[in-house]
Amino acid sequence: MTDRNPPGVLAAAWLVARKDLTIELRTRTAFLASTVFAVLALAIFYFTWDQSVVTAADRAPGVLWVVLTFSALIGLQRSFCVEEHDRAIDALIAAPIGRESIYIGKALANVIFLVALQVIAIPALVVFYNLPIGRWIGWVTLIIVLAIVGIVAVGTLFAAMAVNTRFAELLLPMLSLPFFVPILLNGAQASTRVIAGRPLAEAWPWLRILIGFDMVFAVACALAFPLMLDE
Amino acid sequence: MIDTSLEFQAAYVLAAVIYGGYVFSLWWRSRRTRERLDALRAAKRR
Amino acid sequence: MTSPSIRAEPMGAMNEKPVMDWMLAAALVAVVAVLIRAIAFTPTEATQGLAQKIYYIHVPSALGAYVAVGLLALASLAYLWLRDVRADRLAEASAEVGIVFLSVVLATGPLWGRRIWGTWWAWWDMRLTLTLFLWFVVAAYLVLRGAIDDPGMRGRYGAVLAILGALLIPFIHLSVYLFPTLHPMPIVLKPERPSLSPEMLTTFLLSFAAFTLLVLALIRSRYRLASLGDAVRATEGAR
Repeated sequence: MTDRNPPGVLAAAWLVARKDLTIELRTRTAFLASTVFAVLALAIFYFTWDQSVVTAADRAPGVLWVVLTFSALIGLQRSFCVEEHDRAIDALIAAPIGRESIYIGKALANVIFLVALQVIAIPALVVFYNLPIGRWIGWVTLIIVLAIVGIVAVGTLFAAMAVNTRFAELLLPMLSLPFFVPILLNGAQASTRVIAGRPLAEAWPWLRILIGFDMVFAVACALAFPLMLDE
Repeated sequence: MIDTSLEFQAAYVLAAVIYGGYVFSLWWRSRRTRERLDALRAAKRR
Repeated sequence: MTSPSIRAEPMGAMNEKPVMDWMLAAALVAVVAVLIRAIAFTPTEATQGLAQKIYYIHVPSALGAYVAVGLLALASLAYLWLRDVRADRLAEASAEVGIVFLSVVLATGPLWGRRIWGTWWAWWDMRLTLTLFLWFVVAAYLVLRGAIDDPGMRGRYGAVLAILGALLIPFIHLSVYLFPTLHPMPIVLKPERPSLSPEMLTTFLLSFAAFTLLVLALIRSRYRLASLGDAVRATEGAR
């Protein structure tokens, strides 16, 4: 044993996050798959309605949120798959870090992953859907980050669950999507108003629910996570 | 009064099918499980 | 093979109780009786016609569904706290019966709404929308349970999902409440609810009682089926 003290909760979480991100950086498969999916989906959606009736700019917020949700699922799938090999998760549990650190670390890695994904997807949206550059970009970024926190809080827990079951790829969406609904609904409603140039006060009622959701589920999922690793 | 007898009948039939089907599935599964349990216990005694 | 973390219960007497018993028979008789009363011995509502009678199934089934889902949440809490396999059985039973009742609510709702509201689905009807999302969560619960072999993990994961699902419901409610939809002008229904005659009210109350008895009886029967299944597994394992 080393003579150093075991790392504190946040330091340990950062170690876990760094491990996950390093693996992802080296293989790049999941990020590539999610990014390609997102940009492709944005492009495909463009062709799905009558341009003379609804403008692209009006459709853009809805498309953005659908694509965010499904590319997030792809990203979440990988977050525990990487431990599946050789039961690496056992090593993680045996390490002198608390289980909360594993959760926070994996969630952190997922947040960074999804934010990086949006860094590519948002500009693609602006370009494909011909959105004007404006103040709304800052607010929408904030709303998306809040949504990502919620998606990751819930999704990381369910990914840990799903990886131990028989139909992991089917179960993760089935478990997560009902929980994504309040995130999707409130995020989309808030950002639609912001993109349309309406004052932020109009988006606030939705934003408030999103923030409340994040707080409640971040705590609940962090508390529930150790149960996923019990024997 | 409007004639909504079609919806009324459809709803009652659907409800009967769903509830009835479930009761039947309970009965069927319990029979299968009990047979299996009896067979296992008989095998043990031998 | 049961994990050491679950408290097993003594074998024997527990699994000899019949799955289909007098309580279920009584409940079925009660439901059939009250629906006969609803069809033949309760006056038909003047504006909606026969479709109003759908409500004698739709609303009491919703109540039954909420009872089942409430039991699911409570049993899940109990399981996480006590790790008693009986709480897990109750959760499993409540979920399965719950989805049956939820399905009936979702099947009968649009049939009523199509002519009366003028729309198949009413997102602004809170009960219908919540029922839909409850259905999704309970369905996910049942699929999750079906995908796990180890009883300890199945109980734990299921319980966590059930409790998180319970937390989800208020957020769905809040979100949908704010959600702007065009309320279609109801085709038949006037804005004020048509008043119920005393016979209709009585039929409603009887129907609530009958369906509540049904949901409890079904959960009890399904629980016994679960006990039976556990007995089979235990006997297989002990060979």
